[in-house]
Amino acid sequence: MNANHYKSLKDEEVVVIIIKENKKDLFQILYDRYNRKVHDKCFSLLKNKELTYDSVQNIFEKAYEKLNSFKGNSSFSSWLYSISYNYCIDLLRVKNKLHYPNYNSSNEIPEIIDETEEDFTEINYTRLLTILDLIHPEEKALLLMKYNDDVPVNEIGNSLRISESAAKMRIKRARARVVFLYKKIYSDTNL
Amino acid sequence: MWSSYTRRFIRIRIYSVTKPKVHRLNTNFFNVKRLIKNLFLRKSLRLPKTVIKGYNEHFPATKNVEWSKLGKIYEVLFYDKEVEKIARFDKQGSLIELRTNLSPDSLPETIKSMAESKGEIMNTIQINRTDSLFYEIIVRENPIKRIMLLLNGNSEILESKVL
Repeated sequence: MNANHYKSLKDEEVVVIIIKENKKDLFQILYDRYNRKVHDKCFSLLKNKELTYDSVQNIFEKAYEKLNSFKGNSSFSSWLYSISYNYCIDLLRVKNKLHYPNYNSSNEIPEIIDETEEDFTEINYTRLLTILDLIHPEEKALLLMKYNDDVPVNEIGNSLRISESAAKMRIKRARARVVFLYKKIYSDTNL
Repeated sequence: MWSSYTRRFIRIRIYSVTKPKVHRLNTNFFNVKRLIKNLFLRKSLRLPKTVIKGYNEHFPATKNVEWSKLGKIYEVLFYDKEVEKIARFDKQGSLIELRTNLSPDSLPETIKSMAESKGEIMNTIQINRTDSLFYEIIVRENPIKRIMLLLNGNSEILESKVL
């Protein structure tokens, strides 16, 4: 088969061939497809170009080493993104001494807004990005994994080293915080 | 699975492709419509009347209710007096499990001491099943090592798992 044939395959098919036929070179196809996306996800959490660059290399190396553990229960992209978020959050936990319980107790949400009474149809995207940068990086990662990258909740839990129930509750809290901050900061304007 | 040679090979390959590129940072990488839709607009799930009745009886004043179906079980995630809870009902509307997010300070002293002997408490969930009470506690040994402990009401550790 020629290179173009392999490039036309789905991610999961490429993974199977890498594992079963030992065609390690094909990992380059996955790298080319996701390098930029992983880079941008890392940068959105790390906010540092050099650190992001090194992290992307390490994440792909880690994904390559763990490829045999990919069972196809979720898409390859979700699997790769959960490795990416796990790497970045672990890095921040060590480097920036991230401590979610401390953050949570010193940043209590004054009011859990009843979402059924809010109109979210005119949410402004730029403002939403601003709010996502105001919350704790672990909460941001949780929201992006769940609502942007379709990572299954059990993988979200694995990625942040928390249980599935804790992941569900923290996602709930993160969303409540975003809604509260959005309303507080932009309350005098249309959503 | 991969030899150190292979790892070096991959690293070199990745670097060789990436280094020359000037990657313009892209802050608009989200799927905008999907992110907003998924984050703010709620999906509805058709529920048996028995389940709705069971839920309303147990939890009359809650906020931000989200239902999902796990096999034959109906699971609901909600706020009850500003606290996150997860309840599970069977199709007859009987409450079979309730999980409540707790602050570590709300733990019974013996449970707290047992958990703290394993590490710093990072997350606490109280689990009520029909006739039994459990605590799911996540502790950290160091910045990136976390362990999930499952304790019963007598402070006995039933399960310990590295996350």
